[in-house]
Amino acid sequence: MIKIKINDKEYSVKEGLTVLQAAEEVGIEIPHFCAHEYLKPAGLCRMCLVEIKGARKLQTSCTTPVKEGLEVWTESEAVVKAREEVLKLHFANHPIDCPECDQAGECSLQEYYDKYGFYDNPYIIKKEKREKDMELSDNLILDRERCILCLRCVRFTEEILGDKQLFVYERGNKSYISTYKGEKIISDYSGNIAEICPVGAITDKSFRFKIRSWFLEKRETICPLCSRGCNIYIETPKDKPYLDNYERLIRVKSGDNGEINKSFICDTGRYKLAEIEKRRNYKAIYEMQNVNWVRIKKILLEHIVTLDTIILSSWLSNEEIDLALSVFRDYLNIKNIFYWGRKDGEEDNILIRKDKNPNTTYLIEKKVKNIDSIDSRISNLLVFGDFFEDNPSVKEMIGENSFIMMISPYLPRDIGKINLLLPVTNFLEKGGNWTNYEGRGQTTKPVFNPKEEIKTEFEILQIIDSLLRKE
Amino acid sequence: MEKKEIRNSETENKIFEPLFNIKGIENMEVYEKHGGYLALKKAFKEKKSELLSEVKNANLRGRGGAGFPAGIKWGFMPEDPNIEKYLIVNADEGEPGTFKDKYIMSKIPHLLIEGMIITSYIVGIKTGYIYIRGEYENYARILEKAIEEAKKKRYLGKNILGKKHVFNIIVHRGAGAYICGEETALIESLEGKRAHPRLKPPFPANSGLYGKPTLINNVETIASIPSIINKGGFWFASLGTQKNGGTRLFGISGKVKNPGIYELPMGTNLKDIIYKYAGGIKDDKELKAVIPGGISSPVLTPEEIDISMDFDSLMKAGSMLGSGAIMVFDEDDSMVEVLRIMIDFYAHESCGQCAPCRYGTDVLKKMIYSVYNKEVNEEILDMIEETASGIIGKTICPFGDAVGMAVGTIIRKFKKEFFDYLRDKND
Repeated sequence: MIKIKINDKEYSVKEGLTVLQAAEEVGIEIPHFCAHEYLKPAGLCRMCLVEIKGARKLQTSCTTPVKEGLEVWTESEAVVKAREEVLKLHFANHPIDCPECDQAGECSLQEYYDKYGFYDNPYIIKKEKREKDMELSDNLILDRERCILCLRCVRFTEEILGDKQLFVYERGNKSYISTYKGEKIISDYSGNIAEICPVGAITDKSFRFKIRSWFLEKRETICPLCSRGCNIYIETPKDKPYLDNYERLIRVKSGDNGEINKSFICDTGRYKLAEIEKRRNYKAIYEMQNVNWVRIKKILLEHIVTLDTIILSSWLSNEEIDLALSVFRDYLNIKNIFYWGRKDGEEDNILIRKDKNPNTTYLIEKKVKNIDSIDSRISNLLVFGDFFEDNPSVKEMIGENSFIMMISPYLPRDIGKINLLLPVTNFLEKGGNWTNYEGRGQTTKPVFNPKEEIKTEFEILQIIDSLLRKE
Repeated sequence: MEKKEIRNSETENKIFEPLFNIKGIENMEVYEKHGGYLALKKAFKEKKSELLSEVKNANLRGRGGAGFPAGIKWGFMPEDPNIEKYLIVNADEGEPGTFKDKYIMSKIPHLLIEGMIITSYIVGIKTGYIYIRGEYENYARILEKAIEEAKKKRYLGKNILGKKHVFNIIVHRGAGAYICGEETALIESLEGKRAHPRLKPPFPANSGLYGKPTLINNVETIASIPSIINKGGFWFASLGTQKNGGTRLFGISGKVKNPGIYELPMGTNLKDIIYKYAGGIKDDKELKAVIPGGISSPVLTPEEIDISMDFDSLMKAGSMLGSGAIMVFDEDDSMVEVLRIMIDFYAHESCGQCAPCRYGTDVLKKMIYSVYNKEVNEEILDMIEETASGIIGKTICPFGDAVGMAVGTIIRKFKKEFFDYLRDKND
């Protein structure tokens, strides 16, 4: 830690930070467009100019590292004047079309426009017309009138993805962003490009003209679609719990966790997470009939003790796995306890992991075997999750006159062989602790309330536990 | 035409002028007959540290425009011979009004090459680049031919003059961007990237071309080295003023009787240059304005031209010695037109990397055009001045400062002309 002075007040800050980061850490905001926590300092927008003791000119705080004894002023007369001049220039050609811009409400330019108050264009010039809807990729639209050339997008493809799919063309005020020959960006991370754009230049097709951002509320969780456990925000309408078509997951945005995913997520997490909201089941079904919990308890009591095989899911949280193991392995002494998960897929060296489940690591840690090692026939089975569709071969190992219980948030396509199906909350409706691929633990809280009264896996395991112990 | 442009003034104590006028001096044979490569041979017998102190004693200041003392710049370079280092000669010569380096390169290419070899020897550099503007194709070829000659003579390559020193020169042609004259943009361009100036620090002496320590000097600076080695640093320093050693190639253009290149001591009075050497104003008209060092140096009025042409005096007067390109305007020249041409250039050449310069040049251009087309009233002049000064000190490279100062000064000093121009709607 080193000591610096910001606005005549002394602070202790970490070494290696820039002045901008240090100020942010102690709660002093310095306006900026091009600086981004996880991109190299570029010093392009010149909004973050500050006065530094001993420096002849104002310095960009995003490129100046902190030093012991550094003295910075972020609101001095010179700084305020410079900020005004730079911001004025940023608006010189900007269309100020906030009413129809999807970035409105979360736009840095709009925020500073409001905060530093320049309501009239000071220049007596005509604004330029430029292309307003260039397709950068299948999910991104570029509006060149709104672009302030902070080059976050260009730097993202260069520094984070390493594939340089975006470039600056032309020179001076004619400069514009484009892809090589106007080809579409192909990337597993393209959604981030819209997210890091500080203004409305690059917007996400899946969000364009859908809902104003100020009607949304951010809720923090992690992405369960692979074993990295990227931190994400789920955005949902603030006042109404759902949109008209019952959509409550409006948008997935990346959270910020420098050790896991910086502030980026893959497109699968961003666009495919909504899939876990589909094909939900809210009814308990016993032998093709709806049942209530009084009846379910009786059925459970009768069949739990006869179970010979348990298949856990790698979508169960640490607590659920612990409780399941204490009931089935320790109390009932069942030997055949396995786990299953969604099949392995592609991986890369950026974020995407091969294992497409959130909690496999914890199961392996607890010495639960994978279903590949099932070698004997199964008669009575309890399985977590919509299992059979992904694992048809296991179905064949089930003997005649067996009893199969399934605890799943989803309605299986083939319910035929399942004797008892219990509905549970999905990933977003429950909380818990999760262990990612490198053994890092993360805690989530429920993002949504379940639509109908249903239990979590943990609650069902608690019921089973208490039923057994009463007996 | 070309011959006429090189003027004979007092011939004593000149570095370039005596050589300019020798026929065929672009060839090795003739150059050597007139004392060429003697400095190189002398330098190779001396200690590097002593040579460096000669350069420091010379008070040689960067001729590209910034006027940074060359000896000090060289001193920033790491001494460790195991560190790979580069020498770059900035021959981009893009500053409007400037045409001095092309004379050195076309008439006495060997002087530049000799200077480069001596520099490489002192600083310990194996590879040198001459970054020459693309428009100078002819001069690039002359340089390449001279380099071939020097290679044959074994002044370039391995074991130069039997010493262990290795040095090679590569001529790199620019592609026409003014910003490539800015040293870090030049490095980016040389690396094959967009010519966007880099953030400083780190300075090129620490991390330049390919991240290696790099020495960048102007053509005229490096071409001055052989004379410093031959006649000594103090001799060179004595040619100029106290802190500005040597002579300077002043390129005078515009409304003078005898435009051209003049080699004169640093600190020569601007009035003398215009009236004594360049013969006064063409057709004996009245002088209106002088730009003393390329268009980026703020304009001087006739009352201000009684000034010593050295880096410090012009700085004090709110202008710059810059590249030593003096542009003279007479009563017939419209400053509105001058400003229009100037902003056309700046708006075209702004690299567009940082916001104040990118937007500023565009906004200024539009506003100045509205003045030029008489579409607005006088109030806009304050706005132009304000916008221009708003760019100063906020950009990554000095381009923004240059625009701000040059544009602002023209309006400030010639406001009356602009008023009259706008009022006279019929004109």
